[in-house]
Amino acid sequence: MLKKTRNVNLYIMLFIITLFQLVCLFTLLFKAEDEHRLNIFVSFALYILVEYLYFIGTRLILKRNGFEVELIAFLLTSVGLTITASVYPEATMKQFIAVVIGIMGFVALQWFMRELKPCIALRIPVAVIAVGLMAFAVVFAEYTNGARNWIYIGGISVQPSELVKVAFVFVGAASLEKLQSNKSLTKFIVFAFACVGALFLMHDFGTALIFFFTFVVISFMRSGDVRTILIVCTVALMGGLLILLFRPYVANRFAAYGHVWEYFDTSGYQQTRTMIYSASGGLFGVGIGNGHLREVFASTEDLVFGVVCEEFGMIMAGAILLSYVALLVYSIRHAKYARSTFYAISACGASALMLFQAALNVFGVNDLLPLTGVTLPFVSRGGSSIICCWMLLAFIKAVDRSTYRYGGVRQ
Amino acid sequence: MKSISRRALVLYSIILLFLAGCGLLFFNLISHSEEWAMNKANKHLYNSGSLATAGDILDVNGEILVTTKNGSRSYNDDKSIRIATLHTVGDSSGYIASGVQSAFKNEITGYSLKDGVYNLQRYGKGNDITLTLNAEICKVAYNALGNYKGTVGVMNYKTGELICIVSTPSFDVYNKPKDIHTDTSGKYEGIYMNRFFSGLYTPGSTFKIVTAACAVENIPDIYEKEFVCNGKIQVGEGYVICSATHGKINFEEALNKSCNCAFAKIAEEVGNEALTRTAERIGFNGLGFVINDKINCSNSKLDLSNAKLLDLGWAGIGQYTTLINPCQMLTAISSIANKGFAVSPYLVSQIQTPNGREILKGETIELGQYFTEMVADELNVLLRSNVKNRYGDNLFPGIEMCGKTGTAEISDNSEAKPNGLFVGYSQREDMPFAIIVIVENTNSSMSSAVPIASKVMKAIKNEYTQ
Amino acid sequence: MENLEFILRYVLCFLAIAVIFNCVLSLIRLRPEKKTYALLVDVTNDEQFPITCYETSIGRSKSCDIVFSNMTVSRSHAVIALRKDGFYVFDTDSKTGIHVNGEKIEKPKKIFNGDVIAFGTAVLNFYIGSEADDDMSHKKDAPIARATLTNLADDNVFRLEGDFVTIGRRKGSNIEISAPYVSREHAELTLQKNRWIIENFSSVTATTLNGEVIYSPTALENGDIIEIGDFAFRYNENR
Repeated sequence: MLKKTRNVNLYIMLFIITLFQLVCLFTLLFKAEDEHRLNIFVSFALYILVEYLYFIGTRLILKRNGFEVELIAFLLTSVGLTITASVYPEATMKQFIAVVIGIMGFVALQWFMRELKPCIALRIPVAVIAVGLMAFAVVFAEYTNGARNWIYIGGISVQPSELVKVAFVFVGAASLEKLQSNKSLTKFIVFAFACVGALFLMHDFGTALIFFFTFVVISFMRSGDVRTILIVCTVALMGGLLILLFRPYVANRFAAYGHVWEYFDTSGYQQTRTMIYSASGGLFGVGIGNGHLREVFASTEDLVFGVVCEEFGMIMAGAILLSYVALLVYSIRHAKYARSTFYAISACGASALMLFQAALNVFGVNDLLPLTGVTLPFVSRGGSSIICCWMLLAFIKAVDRSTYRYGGVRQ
Repeated sequence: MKSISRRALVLYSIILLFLAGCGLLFFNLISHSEEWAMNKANKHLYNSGSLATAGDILDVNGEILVTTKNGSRSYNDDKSIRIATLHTVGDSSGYIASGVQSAFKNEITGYSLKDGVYNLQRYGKGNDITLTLNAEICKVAYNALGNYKGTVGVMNYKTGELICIVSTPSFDVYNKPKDIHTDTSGKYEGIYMNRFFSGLYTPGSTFKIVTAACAVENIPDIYEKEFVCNGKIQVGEGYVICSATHGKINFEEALNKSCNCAFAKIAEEVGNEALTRTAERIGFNGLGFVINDKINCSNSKLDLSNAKLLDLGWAGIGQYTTLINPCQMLTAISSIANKGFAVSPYLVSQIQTPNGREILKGETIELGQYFTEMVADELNVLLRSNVKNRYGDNLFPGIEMCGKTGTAEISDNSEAKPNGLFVGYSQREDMPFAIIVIVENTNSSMSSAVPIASKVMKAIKNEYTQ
Repeated sequence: MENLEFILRYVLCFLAIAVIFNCVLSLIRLRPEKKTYALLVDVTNDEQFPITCYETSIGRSKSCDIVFSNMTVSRSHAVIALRKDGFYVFDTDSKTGIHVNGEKIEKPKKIFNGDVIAFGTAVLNFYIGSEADDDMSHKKDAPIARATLTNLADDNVFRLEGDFVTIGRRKGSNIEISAPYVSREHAELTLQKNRWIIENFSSVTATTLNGEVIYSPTALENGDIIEIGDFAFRYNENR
């Protein structure tokens, strides 16, 4: 009756991951200029330390079993960190700090979600804060690369929309305390409309699309109400068309889509270079630091997939894509046995969000979809983005009931 | 939780879509990998649009025609060799598409799907390509061509190795003419084209070899026949003009003297079907050669489907709409020298990786029998008698040369000078080489093409025989 | 160095694939263990409905986890949810309401082992399985240093030792009770995961725990009163 589950052996995996990171570190140190070596070494050493603290802590103190989700996240993060350290060695420490904040957020959110009641209770305040943050961003954010979604606070730039992603999944899923309760989607539709609308005002269409997709997934999971969702989609589609009609410059942004080779040195520059250098990498890549795509604008953010293809090879790039798939499959398979509908829906929402974002990023730079300039989860450089990804991971982790064991209270 | 888990299953459709997208992505990446990696914007290989890092190209004697030095392409030190081998080696910017540097891009950069362009990182160069070409002979041929536009090709008729390919006009890669794209006088006409591979010329009298072969095959008493030449002859509704009044002549004399009247008559007698059959057997109207599976040649054309009797007469002496490709014509001539057996011409004898592994070896490929051995022997005798009786063995001392000249009218305008052609080969066992020389806009083949062939064959004799 | 880098490229790829491949395979293939947390038993026909999820919907609709075709049951009638401190039953806008032990509930109600729950006219007994405890105890119980059963009639103290203790009329039982209504093998106490579990084997006389009849193996807590007929024992433990 019971199927015995067998998880990967943590210690073996941890050993391999450490080897991977050491090889990366070795190559980085060999190629780096003297002034950056210490910076890179310290960041990597601390990163490996944090990794060990997390795994050993959860294994020995919390006696958890099953670390696949975190292992994947740690590996992808180290790929991202390697690329950052290789292209922008001076930003390594900054990126490392963001990763640590992300991991702390991951742990904290897991801890917070151990009980259902506070999650349900906090949904309204979180929603209000999220909308407030978005409104603040609309008013005060500065234009960067055509999208206005950066806020500068004391020299640190924050992308509020990334943090709101976490809140969005949280609020969407927490509105449902238990099965069959609160079937009405109205409040969530209003919340989603506020977020997506704010992103449109900020001209961040890629993130708007991600929010909309997540909205569709969560509301479908909640209600199974295909009709309402179809109506919302139709309205959104018409709204999108109207924007294209009255704001032609929006359409111009995507003009190169489908024939980037004709816009070789203009609006198709990033895509064509990504394809050229991805092909140059072959199956095993040209080695860390040997690439040329890194010289192209936004190589460590939007084009990071191309950098992985060029320097690490297509095989590794394919494996990274598969890991996003695995996270969603994991969420789907655990949904039935989650501790509550909240955990089931938030995990599916979070992992679907990541998969969709990866799709927009990867297919965007390879001209299978329009280039929208979103980041590749865990791999792209960017503090807000990496924090958001790690916190979303907490939702995925929480879907597995074996992550938590309830206190010894008997009926 | 059944309802939730069922709805979650719908998310598998998103996964399927994503996987389909990934499939398409990697299909694109892998199927276009070479094309994309060879893009001129790729800084692994190119530096502002010109090839910077790649393997060496060597001639048959190991002479380096082009190599990579300090991150840019460095060509042979001898200016004449640079210019003579330009079209075969190709330029760094890829203007010359049939050049080895362009046609063998993947090989010379060492690109492979497995390692991408990593070999360039590792060794600072790609694979080395050794050609069958002899740079010294090319230099002689180039100097012999002088200011003429045209082409010279020499091939080993037993193996198919191309030892000399020269196409003019040419230029020095180190000193490319500034006005090359703005000039309107026509002096740079077709400068990026390798005339030997891509050119198409009216064959003129050289086509009489084909007509003669057809006659030998189809007219049993051809040697007994007598032809009367009065300077012109009526064929169908018009006249074919001859270069002189030859009077009564037999078949061999007709070929020696290149009598248009006789060959127009022969063409009329064999008919367009037999002539087309012979021509197509030796490669006319085909797909054109692909040298080493990479370099495409144009294909020779003989279209007699709508030809009137007069047209057939003109076609028999290499006019009308007939066009030959130098490489194809050279292969056909070679087959006569090689007892009727044709071999495929090739240019690349070896490609070697930086660590010494051979990844390609050029080999002799037989194309089949163009002529029966008997016909080949008879043509052999006829062509030998051309040189002995007509052009003079003193032009080809000790070479046992066979050949045929041709002067091709290329325009109805009498102002335009005709093209001079020569095809031929040496009968000597120790120098099995066939040659084609085409000189554009010249007075006569005797004054241009034959002396060039003479110079080249003499140089070959010095190089290859004791 | 060139050769080292050449090889490291493959090594790097191999290491990453080793981790990702293993983890992805494990994530895709692992299925959570199915556990039966509780049981609903229809009183009319003894039909059993195992509760295997943390939230279980009950109703007439086919999309519910437990489906009753009874017309007095609403399409989506109720939800039984396992929360931090036990099982709760929620009324999800049913027309006929939910009765727990005969009382109509107005707000979510915590339910206990042995409760009788009525959804419309469908009446079911609710039993909590031992696997619920597994998931509800994240603190592993400390080993029991000393556990005793005290006969309340004569204050006779019996120390629980070993892995199991039998109670019955049979001679040689660890606790022998020579009363006719006591079965030969009446009940058994077993030590599982540092807890003493009591299980009733008798079909003649009920074994009760704090006044409630035991139907399934139940864990004991300090101070629990076990009754077999006229005999009563108090369970004490020191950890």
